[in-house]
Amino acid sequence: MTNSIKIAFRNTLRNKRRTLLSVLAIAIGGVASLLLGAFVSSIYYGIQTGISKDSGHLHIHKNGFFKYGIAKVGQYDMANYLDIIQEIKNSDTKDEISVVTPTLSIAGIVSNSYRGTSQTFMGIGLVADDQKKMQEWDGFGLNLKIQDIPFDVINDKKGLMGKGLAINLGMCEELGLDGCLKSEKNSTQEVDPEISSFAIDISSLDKSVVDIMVAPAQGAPNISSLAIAKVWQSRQKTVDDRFIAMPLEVAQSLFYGSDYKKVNTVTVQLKDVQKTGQIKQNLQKLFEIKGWNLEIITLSEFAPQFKKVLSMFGFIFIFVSLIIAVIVLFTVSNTMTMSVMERYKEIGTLRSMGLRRWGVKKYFIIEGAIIGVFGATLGVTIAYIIATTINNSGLTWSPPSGSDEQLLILQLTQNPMLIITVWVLLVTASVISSFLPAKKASNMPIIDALRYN
Amino acid sequence: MLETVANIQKVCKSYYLGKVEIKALKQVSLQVPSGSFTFIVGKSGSGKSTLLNLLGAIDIPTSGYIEINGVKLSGLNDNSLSDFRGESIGHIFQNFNLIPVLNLYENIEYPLLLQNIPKKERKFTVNEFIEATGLSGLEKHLPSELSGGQMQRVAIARALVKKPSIVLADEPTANLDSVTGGEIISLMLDMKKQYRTAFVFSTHDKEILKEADDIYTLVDGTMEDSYDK
Repeated sequence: MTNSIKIAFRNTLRNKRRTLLSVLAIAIGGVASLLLGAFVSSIYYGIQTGISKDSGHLHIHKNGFFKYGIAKVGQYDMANYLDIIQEIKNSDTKDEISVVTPTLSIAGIVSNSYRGTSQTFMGIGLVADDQKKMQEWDGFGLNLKIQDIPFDVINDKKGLMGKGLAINLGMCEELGLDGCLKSEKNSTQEVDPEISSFAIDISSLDKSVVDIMVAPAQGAPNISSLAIAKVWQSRQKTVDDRFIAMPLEVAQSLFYGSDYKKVNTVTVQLKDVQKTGQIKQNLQKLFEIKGWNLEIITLSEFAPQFKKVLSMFGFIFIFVSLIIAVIVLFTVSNTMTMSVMERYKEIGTLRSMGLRRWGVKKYFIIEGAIIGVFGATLGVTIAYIIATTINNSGLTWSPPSGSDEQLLILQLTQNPMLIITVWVLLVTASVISSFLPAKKASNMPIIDALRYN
Repeated sequence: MLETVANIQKVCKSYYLGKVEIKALKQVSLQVPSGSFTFIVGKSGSGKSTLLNLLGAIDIPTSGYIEINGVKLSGLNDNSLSDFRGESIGHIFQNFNLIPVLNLYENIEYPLLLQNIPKKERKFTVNEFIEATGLSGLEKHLPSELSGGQMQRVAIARALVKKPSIVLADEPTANLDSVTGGEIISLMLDMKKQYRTAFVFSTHDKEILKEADDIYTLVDGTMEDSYDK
């Protein structure tokens, strides 16, 4: 075998330019495949990191909430959420868990009395310290520079508003924003004279305070005031135009009134996302033992766009890789065919000396493999250099599905399976493409082969 | 009585050019004794090369019987024929047909590699033939760095290194000047004596016929009985 490799290797050097072109074709194919694969990986990990930071990996609700909760929120609240959190923190899986935190999603109308503006909103009551810790999650070691969400303000019993919502409410001046429309009338002039005696002095109001009205779990709407301390811009306009984060207690008092110790979601953020399935099972067992009728929703269920985006990019990757494989197949096949044609006489000589048909095939297949190995290895090296250069260049981009702007990090070295797969694919394509010319060479009658000059 | 290495009986070989049948050999019979110098002479197109190809087991007769070293060739499949060629038959070509990517030593060594001879034994045998053919000092040279005569010496060493029963040489001196051609024939005579190998030549060169033990003449694919040296 060593001798066959030696002879095949020397044969690859007989026509250096042709071999070089084949090696380069494979290398370029490899570079394209690897960089695309690394980019897709970057999207995969980028989106997953973004979702993990914002929403965690497991959402625990009262059974049925995920499917029907949007219409019947009050029926699916969890009064014992503190017990649930405590049990999770004491469970066997506690070392696998990064954060367990309660949240309460609410919706209603927000108005700014000073500006005389109002808007529907989607709000979330949360524990700021837990959310801050969640934002530190970096399970894939990406070190992404995702825009900080200023949760600190929530610890001061204030609210955080989407930039789009703040602009629509005309709160530019107090929140230091640009882009608000100038109101045509002063809101004080809109007060009906008949009720002017009941009107309050608008000028005395804090401009940054908004009134939030929520249809509660039971009874008449609740209204509460909330000072908005900061805005935060989400990449998703639909979120940006509706979002308010507030202290959990504020949301609870709005939604449940005096009976406010309830939430509809307990969010669990894991240290290792790969263990989602295992931890979900463990928690399900725990809840069964406790007799709690709870459901656990995983990231791929509560963020279905994640899978869709990934399958799209995965398909693009496979499609491009197949095209590259076909190009490699034809390029190497062409090289090997030329090589066979130039060596008919040599093939005849070797056969006359006693080399079997398989022996002839073996030489050409090994040649194809050598070209493939060199091309694929060169491709990996070039891709590594390009990926490293891009990763150190500080370029930023926004992944699809509304994630925040982040550094463009091509996940190449972090993804050894991608490198191995592309390398093996290229070498295999090269070997396959040398098989037909090799077969032709080995099947040639010896006397015909010897006649060629 | 000398042992017979090759026995050909009533061999015919036909080719087709389109639908036209070309009868290259017609009922040819011959016997090659062990350790002999046998010459096949004839004009171009007389069937010399075809006969050598059949003797060398690189072509199959249309009809007739060929036995080399006691083995009936028609009973062998392709792999067995390859192995048989590797063990029992040496080829020397008019254009030397050395493997261009192998140096002199490796070209001579190659037939032994095909027979899986151990490295130590290979080295000893190859060096023996390099010395016998006067090629010492040129071991690392590629064929492109050798003269015609040197290349033919390598081809002879390569054909003989596995110590075959029979060596077939298709016009081995045709591409050499007369002096070098004479040296090559002389070398083959030495080899014949040393290794008791039978040589079968096809040639136009009347000068070398004086060394022949047997001479067969082919005329239009038919064997004539005698040749006047």
